[in-house]
Amino acid sequence: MKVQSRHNSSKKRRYQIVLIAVLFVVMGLFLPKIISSVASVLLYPVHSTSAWLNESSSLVPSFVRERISLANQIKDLENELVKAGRIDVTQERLVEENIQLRSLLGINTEERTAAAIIARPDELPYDLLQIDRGSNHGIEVGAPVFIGRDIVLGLVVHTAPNYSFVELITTPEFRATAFISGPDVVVNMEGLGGGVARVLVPQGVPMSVGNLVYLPSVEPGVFGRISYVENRPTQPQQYGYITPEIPISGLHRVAVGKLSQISQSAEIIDERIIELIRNKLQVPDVSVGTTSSSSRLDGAQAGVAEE
Amino acid sequence: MKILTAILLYSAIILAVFQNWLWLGGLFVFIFSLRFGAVTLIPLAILIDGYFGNFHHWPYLSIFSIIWYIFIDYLRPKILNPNLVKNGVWQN
Repeated sequence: MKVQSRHNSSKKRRYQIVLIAVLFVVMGLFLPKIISSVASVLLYPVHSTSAWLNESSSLVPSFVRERISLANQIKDLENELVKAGRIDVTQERLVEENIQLRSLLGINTEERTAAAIIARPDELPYDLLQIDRGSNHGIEVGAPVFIGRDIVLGLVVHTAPNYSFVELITTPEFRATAFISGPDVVVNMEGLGGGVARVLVPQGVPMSVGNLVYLPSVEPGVFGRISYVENRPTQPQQYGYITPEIPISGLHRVAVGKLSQISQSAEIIDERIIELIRNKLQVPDVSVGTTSSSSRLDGAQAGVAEE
Repeated sequence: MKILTAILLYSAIILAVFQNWLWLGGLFVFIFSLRFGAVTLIPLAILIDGYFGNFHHWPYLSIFSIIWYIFIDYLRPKILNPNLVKNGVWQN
C-alpha cells in the first residue's frame, strides 16, 4: 500500500513539473521579448565568461584557443597529406602511362650520361659547372644537362676527353624561347646571372608566381617555376623571375643528354607548345556520363547539320 | 561536496553550450541527469532558449529538456540502485 502511494505521489510530482514547464514554454511563446530580457540578465555572467574565454589574452583562454587552433591545424594538415598522397599516386600513374605510350609509339627514352660535378661557382665563374665526363664518354658540345628526370639546367659548352663545362641557362645574355604554362604564352627568356633568369611578358598576361616555365626546344624541357613577378603598370611589359628550385651549391650529380634532344626547327617547337596546351586540358580520374554527353553531342551535331 | 559538484557540473553545462562544445555539453548533461536528476535542466533550457531568441519561433531546447526530464525520471531508478534512490542518496 505504502509503495503504491509513493509511486502515485512520484507520478503526481512528475505531472506537476511537466505542467509547470509547459506553462513556462507557452508563456515564453506568447511573451518572447520578456523571456529574452530575463535570460540576458540572468546569463550575463556566463556571457562575460564566454567572451573572456574567446577574446582575452590571459594565459588560460589563450592556451585553450591555441590548443583548439592547433588541433584544427593538425586535422587540416592530415587532410592535405592524404590529398598529396593521392596526387603522388596519380603522378606516378601518369608517368608510367606516358612511358608506356612513348614505347608504343616507338619513341625510345633518350640515353643519358650521369656525371658528377667537380667544380662549381665557388671555384669557377658563376653560372658555369665542370663535370667529370667528357668526349671520351660521348658528351657532345651543345647537349642539354638535366637535374632529375626533366629539369633542364644548361648546355655543354666545352668538352675535353675527361671533363666538360656546362653553361647554365641563367648565364647573362643566354637567350631562349620559353613557354609559360598557366597563361600559356611563348616568350623570350634571358639569363641574368647569379642563378636567375627572367621572362619578358606583355602587360595584361596573367602571369603569377608558381607558373611552370618550359623550354620547348629541349626534350623534356621544364626549366623551373616563376618565383617573382615584377609588374609596373607604366612599363609595356612585366618580368617573371625564375630561380632554380635546387641551389647550385646543393647539386652533386647531373644527367647529360644527347644533342638530338635539342629541337632545331621552329615547327617542332610549336608542336611541343601545342602538345603542352593539349595535355593541360586533360583531367585525370574524371569519368564522363556517356548518355548525357553523347546526347548533347548528337544534339549539337544535328544543330550544325541543320545550319 | 554534493552541492558543489552539482554547481560545477551545472556551470560546465552552461559554459559548454555557450562555447559550442556540444559533445562535452551532452556528456555533462548526461552525468548531471543521472547524478542529480533532470528537473533543474528545464529552467536552464528555457533560459538558453530565451537568450538565443528561440521563443520567437520554436523553443527546441526547452521542449527537448521536458522530454529529457520524463525519460531520465523513468530511466534513473532502473539504471541506479533502486535502494539508493529510495533512501534519498541519488535524490535531487
